[in-house]
Amino acid sequence: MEQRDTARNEHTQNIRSGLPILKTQYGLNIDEYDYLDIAVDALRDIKHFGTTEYVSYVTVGKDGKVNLPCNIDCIDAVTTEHMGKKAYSTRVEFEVDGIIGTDSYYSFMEIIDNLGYIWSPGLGGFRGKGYISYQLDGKTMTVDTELAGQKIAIAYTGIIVDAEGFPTITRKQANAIAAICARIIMVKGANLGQKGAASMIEYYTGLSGRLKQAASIPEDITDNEMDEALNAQTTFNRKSYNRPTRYSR
Amino acid sequence: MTLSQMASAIRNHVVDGLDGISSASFSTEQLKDEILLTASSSLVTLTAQGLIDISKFTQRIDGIKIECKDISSNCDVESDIEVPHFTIPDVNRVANTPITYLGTMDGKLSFKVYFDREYRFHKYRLASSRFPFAWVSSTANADGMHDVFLFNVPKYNNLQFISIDAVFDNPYEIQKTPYYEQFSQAEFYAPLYVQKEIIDKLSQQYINYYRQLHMNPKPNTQQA
Repeated sequence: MEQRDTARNEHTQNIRSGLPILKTQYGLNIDEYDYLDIAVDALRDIKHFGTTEYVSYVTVGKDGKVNLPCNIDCIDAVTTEHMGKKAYSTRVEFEVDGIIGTDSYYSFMEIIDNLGYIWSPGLGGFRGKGYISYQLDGKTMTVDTELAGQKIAIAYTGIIVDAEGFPTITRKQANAIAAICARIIMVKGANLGQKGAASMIEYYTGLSGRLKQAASIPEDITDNEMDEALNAQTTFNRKSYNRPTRYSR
Repeated sequence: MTLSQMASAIRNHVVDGLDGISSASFSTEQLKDEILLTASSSLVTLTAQGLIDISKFTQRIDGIKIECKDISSNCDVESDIEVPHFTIPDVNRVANTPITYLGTMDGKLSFKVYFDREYRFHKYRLASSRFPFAWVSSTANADGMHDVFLFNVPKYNNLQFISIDAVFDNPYEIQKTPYYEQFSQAEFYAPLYVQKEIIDKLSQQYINYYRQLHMNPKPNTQQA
């Protein structure tokens, strides 16, 4: 279902669209940067990003380094080209070789990078035939130098972002973020002893929770999706429907 | 009303109110200072009562020139960290958000503003750590102005001028800045509603003070 989020045309709003909602619906103001931090954090909980599952076949450099696709949010798997063609043939193919991404994306990896960590799943991350061990360093991936010059498959989840690198969001997500901000403002106000703020926390906690739940599902379900849902099969991981491979979706 | 007109109105009230009781004389210059003092406290009181929103009393300074300066204010102990810098008159630190906008003159990029050393943790912010931010020094420098240092600006190296919207502690101090030509002294910065509050408050205070000070002595009869 997530796979088709991009096709829905729901993710049309800028991440800052919650700011005017906060003002018009609740009469509250918040610092722009505080809002951005809250929004990015909340969106990771809400999920329902405008994601698409991609696969890229990239050539490994002499030093074992691989430039990652510019629209990457998180990696689902790194495999040999052969396995990639077999296992991820239904994914959208994203051409990376010869293209240098200039966009700056605000993805999960960006956040990790931002916080000063180098995320290393370890050389033994995925063991099995066809899987390739890798290490991440910012937006570069390092694999065994034995693979230099060869093509490998990177199966990943891509995300729609704006020019600043923030994810584009839906109308419902903007409403949810505004309510979350309102709740945070009330909590801060109560801590500072502002009159009436404490009594409003409960209201905004309920409201933001409800809107968060609402924002995590699309506005409508197509007949095709309903058909798929009704045909859900019991598989190895029990009744999974289009099983997400990573938590970001 | 202008500041002079307000001072004149208070003077007239007080002189009329004390007519026949006292012939006190006082300077309108002092009255002007007191109006500004009272204005600041009135705004805070009215905001606390929920009658007005103090953040709507901002004043804008455009084209503030940025120059690099050592972050240390002590000439003997320099930090060797030169950062883009400019000065502003003190802001009203009682207001929730004394500076509502600090950023480029086209209004497209705003800086996060810190009033304390919490700017140290800016680099750990989840989504905005790479965005620019400003730190407003808590004490005035030798010129009576407050230093503002800008950080995270390498991306905007060509930035030479900055714009600011702030609630200043003394709104007339912006006249002392090099940007004074932008401002008019014609109208008092607060709306008529607040002007009336200030005039009433000061007139009442003056009349009460003078009445008490000029109370006629009565014979002590040892009776209540």
